[in-house]
Amino acid sequence: MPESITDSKPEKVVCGPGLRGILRHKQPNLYWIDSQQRRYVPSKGENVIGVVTAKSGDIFKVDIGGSEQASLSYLAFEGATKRNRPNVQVGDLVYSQLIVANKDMEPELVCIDSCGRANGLGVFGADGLLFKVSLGLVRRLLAPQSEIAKDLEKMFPFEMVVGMNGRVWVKAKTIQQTLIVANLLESCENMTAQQRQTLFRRVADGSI
Amino acid sequence: MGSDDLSRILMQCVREKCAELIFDQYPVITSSSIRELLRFQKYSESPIEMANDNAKLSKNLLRMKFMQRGLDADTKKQLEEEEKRIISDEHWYLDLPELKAKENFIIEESSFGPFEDLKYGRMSFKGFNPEVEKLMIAMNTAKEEEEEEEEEISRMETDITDEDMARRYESLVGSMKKRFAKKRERSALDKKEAVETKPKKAFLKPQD
Repeated sequence: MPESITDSKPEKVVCGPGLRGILRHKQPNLYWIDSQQRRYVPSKGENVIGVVTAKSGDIFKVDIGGSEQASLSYLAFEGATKRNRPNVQVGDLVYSQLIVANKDMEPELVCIDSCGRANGLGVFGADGLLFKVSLGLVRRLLAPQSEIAKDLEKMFPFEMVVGMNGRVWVKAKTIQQTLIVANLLESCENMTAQQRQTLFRRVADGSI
Repeated sequence: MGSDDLSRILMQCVREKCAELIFDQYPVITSSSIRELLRFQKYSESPIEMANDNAKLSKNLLRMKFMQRGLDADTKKQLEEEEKRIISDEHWYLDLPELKAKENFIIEESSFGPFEDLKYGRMSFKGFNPEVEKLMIAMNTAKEEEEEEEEEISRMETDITDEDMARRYESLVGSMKKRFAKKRERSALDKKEAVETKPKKAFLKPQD
């Protein structure tokens, strides 16, 4: 928040709903509040991790962590035709893009881009670990010059899928390593850059 | 009974003063009603005035399908206009001042994507999943290129002027003409051009 507002009451400030975050500005005319909320509100164009919860006729119901389940057509996969259905089972993880998301309608997902290519979207995660983090941390992970991603990169080989809905899936060579990465990411939530780097160094040295 | 007979008889009937009255009683004309009409005509006490051709037909009568054929363009137009007026009178409208929408200077954007230039959500480090690493490079550079392309397009727009375009198009028209012409015509075209390029010879008046 700008300092002028906090200055007026030096000791305690009452913040109403929607005002808990850092007001950010980007040239020329973009303003937004960067917060650490955990509730996901689907919005168009975002890539999210969903869990298939039901198969019904020609659509899948997918839980994306929003207020309502999203629908995903079986034709919205790469190479899918009416005769050639994609192999999707209940409980599978899908990395997909929201193409319909507004407050009045059921959100709708696709696993292809406008050219019909998957480009990494679709069913993934035969094993690995899925967990939830705050939406703020997700954005920090996906930022162009993300410090966290750079620090993680130095550890050991692993794979990660980050959904804008706060879900993160990681997989490393062993279960132990997978758990280490997951725990590190969760602990990144409330740490300064310095704290994080010392922690990462200790893990890399094998002292934890 | 043909429709021509019908209209003729009706015309005859209607010339009488009481005709309109009859029509109110027989809004839907059937063969039986015609018969009744004729009977009425036969036994009515008032004589038929055949000579009076100037008698006006009622509007309701003129509007009937079988009467339309005999009408001239003027009355037809008049009738149509009247009908239109009736229809527009039946429409409801509120007598309110015109609504003026003000321009909205605040554009709401529900996603963080456009603000923070977020990267592609799938990542792999140290060669854990080569496919994803390829994808990462492709997707992240694609985004950058998109931005560059936008800049390029805006620059290009200023690059080619209308004159350039016209010049280019002119030459294109010539070459296309040559292409679609037959062989003989093509040679003729070439010759024509050659002739045109030669300096024109003309008789010069000798000076005294």
